[in-house]
Amino acid sequence: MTFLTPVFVLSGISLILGILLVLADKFLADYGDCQLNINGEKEFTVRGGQTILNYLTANRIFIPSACGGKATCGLCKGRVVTDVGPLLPTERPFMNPEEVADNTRLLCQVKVKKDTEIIIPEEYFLVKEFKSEVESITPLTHDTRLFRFRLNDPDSIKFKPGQFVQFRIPGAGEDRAYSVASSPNDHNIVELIVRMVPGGLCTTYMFNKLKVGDEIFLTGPYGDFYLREDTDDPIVCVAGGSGSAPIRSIIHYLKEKNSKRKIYSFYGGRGPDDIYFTEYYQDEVAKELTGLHHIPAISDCSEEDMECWSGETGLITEVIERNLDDLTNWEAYMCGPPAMLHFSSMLLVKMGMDKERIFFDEF
Amino acid sequence: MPFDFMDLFIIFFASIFTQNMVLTYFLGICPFVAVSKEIPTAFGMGMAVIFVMFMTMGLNWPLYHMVLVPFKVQYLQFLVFIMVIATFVQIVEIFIDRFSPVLYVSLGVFLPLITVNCAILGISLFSVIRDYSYLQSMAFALGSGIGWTMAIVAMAGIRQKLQFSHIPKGLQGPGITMIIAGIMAMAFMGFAGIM
Repeated sequence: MTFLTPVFVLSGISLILGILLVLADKFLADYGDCQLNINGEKEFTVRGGQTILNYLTANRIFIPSACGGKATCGLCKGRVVTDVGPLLPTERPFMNPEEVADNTRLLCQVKVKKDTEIIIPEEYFLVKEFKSEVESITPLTHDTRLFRFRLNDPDSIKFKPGQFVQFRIPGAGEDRAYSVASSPNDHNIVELIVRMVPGGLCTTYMFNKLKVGDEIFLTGPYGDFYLREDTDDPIVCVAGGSGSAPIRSIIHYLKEKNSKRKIYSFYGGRGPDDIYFTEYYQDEVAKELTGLHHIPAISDCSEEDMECWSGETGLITEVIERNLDDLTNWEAYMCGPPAMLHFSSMLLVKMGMDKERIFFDEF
Repeated sequence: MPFDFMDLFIIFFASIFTQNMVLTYFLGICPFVAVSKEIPTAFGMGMAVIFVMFMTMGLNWPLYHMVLVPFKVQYLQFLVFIMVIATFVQIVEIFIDRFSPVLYVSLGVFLPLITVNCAILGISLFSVIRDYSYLQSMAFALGSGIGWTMAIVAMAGIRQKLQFSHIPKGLQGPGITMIIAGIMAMAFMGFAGIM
């Protein structure tokens, strides 16, 4: 019989530990059915215990969330009206004092443990998930490519020029945000301009793995950076790097609308290798969109560069100053690296632009 | 065994200084290297280790002496100890998730790591090898936890300073951390003279 003793002892101990775990799970981890109320309009009954973001995604309400619920992107903000406990240390870095005061939380961090009421921007109800197919991949420069997706289900997207979509990285459970580069009038198409980030999860996937015909999921549209259409005032566009994507969408849209607005579009790169679409804008698009002036510029120019580059040189702010003077009643749309946006907007205000009319999309 | 305060005191301090889990036995090195980049996180991890060490020792000692020994199945200690640790960590995680979301996010990430921290299993096994009484074991667990925390917080302090120094590329990250751990261990050998 002695050889059975260890079997019994071990099974006995496992049994007791197992029962303890089951009991803990039953009495501690079970929050029962909870009501999740959104903007006082929609209500879902959910089995408590998971994060608000999870329930919203499960109910097909798509909140921008690029990191997949790890509290690193800070996009999934919403107001939680019900008292769900203090702000967590993971949320604090993303909140300014006003947001702390009105109970704005990261929806990926707050768990539903009782009936909960939240308020999210209305436009999130319009966000959909699109099953799409890669139609083409076109290299623009040594490190930038244009990805063209055909939407299959649903097959049509409605967005404002300048807004962004999220690209779901297959198998990673994470999303990355990219501005749409195509015109909103192409309902069936979404084009993204992506610049390779060395070591970046999504760009590595897109540049090395993704091929024509692959099926991927896009969600969108998101963002409050979009073309204001209630005026015909002239526009300054400033873009750097892959920041030309939303500007391209805006320009295409205005071209299709036969807009007569005056548009100065500045595009800054390091060297001549970083510049793309110059002839396309200056020759083709400008033919139809008569108000368009596309001005590419390079900032780090060496001797050799000067031989193959005839355009503007210097920092983008210097280039703007050389080409424009009084900007009273102008409007600006800018997308690019934070430093570029910061100094450009300072300059534009100095040149007479109303601060309220400078719109930008930082990355 | 008669209650001997001095004896507990010696075990407690020995486990902090002269027989430090990390720096003398090199146990629990994985989180010691991985979670020692910043002092606050290192401290959080340390607190979680103290708590789990103390509590699992409290469970493992009676289990060993009242179940495994009478049935003469002491060789099951590895299995049993690790099962108890895993279950305990699970239950604690569920518990603090329910009652303290703030503690959950600050400690929560460390708790699953602790299940596989060999210093936790190590102290239960040491207490058996050294034939400690229940009180001695508890003093040993508490001391080991504090010693481990002290070592990881000290390491985090050094690594924060290290960010500003020029380290050869091949040594950056875990490489230099292991070398520092070695130097710290040598420094801790100095404590051996005290007791």
